[in-house]
Amino acid sequence: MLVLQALTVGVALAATLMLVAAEAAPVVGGKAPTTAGASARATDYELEPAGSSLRFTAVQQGATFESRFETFTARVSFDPAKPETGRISARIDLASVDTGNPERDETLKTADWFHVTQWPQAVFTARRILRAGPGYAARGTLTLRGVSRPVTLRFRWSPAAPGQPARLVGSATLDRLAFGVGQGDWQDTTYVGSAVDVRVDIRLRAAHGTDKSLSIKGSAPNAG
Amino acid sequence: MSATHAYGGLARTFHWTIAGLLLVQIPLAFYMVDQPLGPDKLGNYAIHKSIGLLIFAVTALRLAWRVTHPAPPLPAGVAKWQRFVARATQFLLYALLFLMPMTGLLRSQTANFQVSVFGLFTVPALVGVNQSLSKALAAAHEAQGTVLLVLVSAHALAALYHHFVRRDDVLRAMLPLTSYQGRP
Repeated sequence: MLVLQALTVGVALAATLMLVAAEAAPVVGGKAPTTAGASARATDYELEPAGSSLRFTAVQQGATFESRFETFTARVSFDPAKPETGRISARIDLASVDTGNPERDETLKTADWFHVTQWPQAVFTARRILRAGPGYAARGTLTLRGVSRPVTLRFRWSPAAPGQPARLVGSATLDRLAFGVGQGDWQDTTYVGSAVDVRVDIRLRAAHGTDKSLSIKGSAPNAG
Repeated sequence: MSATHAYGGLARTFHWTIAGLLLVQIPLAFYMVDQPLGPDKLGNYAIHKSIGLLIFAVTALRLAWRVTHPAPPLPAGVAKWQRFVARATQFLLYALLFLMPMTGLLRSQTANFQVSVFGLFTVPALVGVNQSLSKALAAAHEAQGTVLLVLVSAHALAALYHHFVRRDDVLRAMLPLTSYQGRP
């Protein structure tokens, strides 16, 4: 009897673990999720680098500074009429950070910050997109520096038009310390704030392949 | 009747306010540059920048005051070349108190280090990001700092020379917290 109970618990545990693993697979494996499960209505898009940008602002010594990531890729499956069928995944090459200051860029790559030798990429995946106000909210997971945390990307969507790619403009606010970005003394937020505002403005064209793991360079110039 | 042989109360307040700020600012500059990168270093840079811009603001007010309220003349016995050196030093000190905060501010802004004044407000960006210009401005700021240190030392030593060697009233004319109005 006891053996049977243990077995049941064991099987349930294993099943749960497998489910969790399946959910986390795109994150851990660094593969963009496929859209096979999504409604056939949702269109698959891939990043159109021209005009796409991924920026963030943070506060240093009491003043806001403007930054961007030069290299990132994104896959989106979205139908504005049925947002709930949508999927978003993005991968960001952390070593491509450009804060408008080479010394700061180098510092951010070190072990205390992004630790790019150990975790070269950040991954965002959202499988739950809801209507929110005039736009949408993609509730997903951001994995950064080995830590996965829920992150909501609020965005507006402009559908593709003839000769024009679709456009997704959105923003999210992160707490760098929740991801362990800034170790040791850098956990002090007096001179480097913990809140980071991320701004996404990407153009998306209909995807040709099923998956493309290449990193694509965004081509927007640095506003810095 | 207004004294013509000593500086007025406001002129003295300006002078010693700047002197006090420099007494913090200059040692802080030498200390912070050799600190290892960390929040403490960033904090000291933030304070250095804030004090620098405060010096700039006080100098602007001070200069406006000086233009409308001439300095008392030096004692009659002072050699002509010494008068020239004294006034040239004062002129250069004013120039540096104006220039150094600007090269410092622009050096920061061109490096995309935006500058906040004591966390109260952020100085609007006067220039865009330009790394090579930033390096040139940093070198200029440092060179100006060396000149400032030499001039401040000369200025202070000359004042002490007047007071203790020549035993005249040049230093007394600027001393704070005295009601000294000068000897006619």
